[in-house]
Amino acid sequence: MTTYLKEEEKKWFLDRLGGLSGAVGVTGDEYGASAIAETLLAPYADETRIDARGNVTGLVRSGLAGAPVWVFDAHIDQVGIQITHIAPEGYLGFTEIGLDARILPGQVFVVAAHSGERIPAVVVLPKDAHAPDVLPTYLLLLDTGMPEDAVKEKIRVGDFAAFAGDAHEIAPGRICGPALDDRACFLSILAFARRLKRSGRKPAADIVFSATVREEIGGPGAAAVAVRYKPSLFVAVDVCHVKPGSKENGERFEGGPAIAIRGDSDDFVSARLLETARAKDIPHGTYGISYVSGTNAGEVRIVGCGVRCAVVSLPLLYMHTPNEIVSLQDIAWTGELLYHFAVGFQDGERG
Amino acid sequence: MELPSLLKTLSDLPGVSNFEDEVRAYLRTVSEPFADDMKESPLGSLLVFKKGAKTPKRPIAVSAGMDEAGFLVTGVGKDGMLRIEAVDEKFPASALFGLRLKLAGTGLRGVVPAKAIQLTSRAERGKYPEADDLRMDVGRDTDAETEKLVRIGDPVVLDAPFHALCGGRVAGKAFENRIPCAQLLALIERKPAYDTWFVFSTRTFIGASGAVSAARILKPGVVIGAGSVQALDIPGIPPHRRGACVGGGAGATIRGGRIFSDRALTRDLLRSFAQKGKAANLFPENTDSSRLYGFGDGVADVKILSIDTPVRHLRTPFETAAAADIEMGVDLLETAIETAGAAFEKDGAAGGGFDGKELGTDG
Repeated sequence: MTTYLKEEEKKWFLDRLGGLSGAVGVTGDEYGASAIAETLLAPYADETRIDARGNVTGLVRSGLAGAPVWVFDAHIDQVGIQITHIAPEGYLGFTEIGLDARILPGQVFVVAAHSGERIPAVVVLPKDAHAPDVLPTYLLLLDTGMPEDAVKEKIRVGDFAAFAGDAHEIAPGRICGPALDDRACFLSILAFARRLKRSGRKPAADIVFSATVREEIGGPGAAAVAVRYKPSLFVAVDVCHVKPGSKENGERFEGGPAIAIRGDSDDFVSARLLETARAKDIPHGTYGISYVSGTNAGEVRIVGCGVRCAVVSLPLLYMHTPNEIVSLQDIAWTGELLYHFAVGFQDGERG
Repeated sequence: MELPSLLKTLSDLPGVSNFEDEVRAYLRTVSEPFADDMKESPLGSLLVFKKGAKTPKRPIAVSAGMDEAGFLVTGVGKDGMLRIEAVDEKFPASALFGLRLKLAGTGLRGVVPAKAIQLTSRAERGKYPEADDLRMDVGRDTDAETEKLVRIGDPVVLDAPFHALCGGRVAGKAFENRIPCAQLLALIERKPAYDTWFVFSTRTFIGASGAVSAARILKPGVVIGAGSVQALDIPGIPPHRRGACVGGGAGATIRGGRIFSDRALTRDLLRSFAQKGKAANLFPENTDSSRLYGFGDGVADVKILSIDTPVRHLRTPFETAAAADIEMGVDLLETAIETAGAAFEKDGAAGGGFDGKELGTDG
C-alpha cells in the first residue's frame, strides 16, 4: 500500500465518504443519497438541482456563448433489497437488486421505512438448520426482531433496505463499506469539482457534474440527465473489479484509474485521457471493452442522436457486497485525471 | 445498572473461549461493589459470593458462561489474508460468507471475502463456500504486511454492533452467554434469600473446563444455570418444534445436552413463581446447558435447575431477544434461589420428595 495523500486531504475524503456510504439509496429510491450528494456538490458548482427522479447535477459555466456541455457522471444508487410482502409474525419477504443470494443469510440490513425511520433487520432462513444448498431469495425472510404490530405500523411493501455496515479504514488508505460502487466515484468527481473551483480556471465547455440514479437497472437516470443537458461528451466514472493477486494495470489498488478502450468509450476521448494521464504523471491502467461497459455510458450513448462517451474506472474489490473496498489514493488520482482532462481543452477544440 | 446497558457492554466485548480477559474484568468491576467475597478459579472463572438473608445447608451456585463462539487465526496466506477456524463447529458456513469480523485484541477489522457476483459462475452461486476454507481479509496485500499485525492463535469475533430495536427487543452478538451474564449482574444488586455464589465460567464452548473447575472449588448442593434457549419462532417451523418465542417469556428447562434438571425443584420453582402472580415457561430443551455446569463427570450429589431466556438467530451478528424476557429471567433466577434454599430446609436434600405429579401441570 502506498498512499501519498496528506492527512488533511485524507480527512477530507473520509469525512465525505462516511456519509455517502451510509446513506440508504437503493435503486428505485435514491432520494436519501441525493440530498447528501447535492449538499456536497453545492460549494463547487454555479447551480445545483435534484430532478424528479433524484438525479443530482451541478453546473459550472464556461462563460462562453454556445459552449458545448460535458457531463462527468457517477451513479449514487446502490444494490440492496426491496420488501415484497409482510409475512406472518412480522417477518418480511423481499426481492434483491444485484445481490448474490449466498451473502444474504445472517446479513444485517437497514430498512428505510416509509415512516422515515431506519430499522435494522437480519436475513434468516425459513427453517432452523442452515441448508447446504443455497436458497433462492424468495424463500428468505428479513427479521426486524419487532413484534408484528410494530412492523405493520412502520414498514410497508415497497420499502427498500441497504447493507447496514459502516464505512471504515480497513487498512491505511483503504476504505471498506457498502455502496462504494459507485459513491466512491462520486467522491472523485467532487475532488475534480473542488480542484476546478480552486484553480479559478474556466473550462472550454459548460461542465455538469452528475450523481445519477438507477444505474443498477440499466441507466435511465443518466439518460434523463443527458436529455436535459444535451451533452457533446459524457464520461461515466464507475468501478471495475480488483482481482486479488492480479498484476494487471488498472485492476489492482493504488494503480490509479483504469481507462476503458472501445466498447462504450470513444477512441478520441480515451486517447485524450491516456495522453493526459501520461503528461501529468498520473498512475493509470487501461482495459479493453469488446462490446458494452455495463455503465451509464451504455445507455447515454444512444440518447438523442447519440452522445460521445468515455468510461473511467475506479478499482474496487468485493463488488455488490457490504464490504466493497477501494483505495483513497485511487479516488484522488481519478479526480486529478478528470480535472486535467477537462481543463486541457482549448476553446473551440474538438470535444 | 440498567439491564439493556449491561447487555450492550457485555455483547460488544470480545471474549472467545479461553480469551475471556476483557469480559471477566468487566464482570469483576460491576459485581465488586455488591460482593461479599470473590475468587478466581485457575482456569479464569469468576466466583462472586453474596450474603443472603439466610445461610443454606449446602452452597447454592448460580452459573453463567462468559465466553462466546468465535474463531482463531490459524495461518497467513501469501496474499495477506488470514486463515481462520471456528472455535465452535456450530457456526454455519452459510452465515459467514460476506460477514465482518475483527481481531479480539487489537480490534483490527476484516471481512470474510465474498466474490463479486459479476465474477461468479452459475455453478459457484449454487453452493455455499466450505467452512474449512474460511478466510479473513484485513485489507493487506502480502503476508509480510499482515504478519506485523496478527499472530497465529489470535482470537477473532463477529464485528457486530448492539441494536436497541422497537417494541423492547434487542439484537447483537454473543447473546447466548452474555444475556445470562447480564442477568446475574442484575441479580447481584439484590439481596438474595439465601447466601449465593455467582459463577461466571470460562471456556463453555470448548468442553466446559472452566465450569468443572469452578464446581470443584465450590462443591455446591444446587446449581442454577442461567442460559439461552433457541427461539425458532420463524415462519415454516411448526409450533411443536419452536421450543421458545422471543417475547414469550423466560422459563425453566427440562434438559440441556446430557444434563437433566431436577424435576421436583423445577416443579417447586414454577409453583413459587406462580404464587407471585407470574407464569414461567417450561422449555423441553435449551442450547445445551451441560457446558454451563461441568458436573456431568466427577461431582455427584448436586441438583440442577436451568433458567433460560429465548434468543433468536444464534451465532449471527443479530442474535435477537426481548428485554421483558431478560428481566423475567432475573426474577425467575431470584425465585430459584429461594426455592433451592427452601428445599434444603425442608428435608436437608434439595428437591427431595418428588410427588410423582407431572411436571408443570400442577404449578
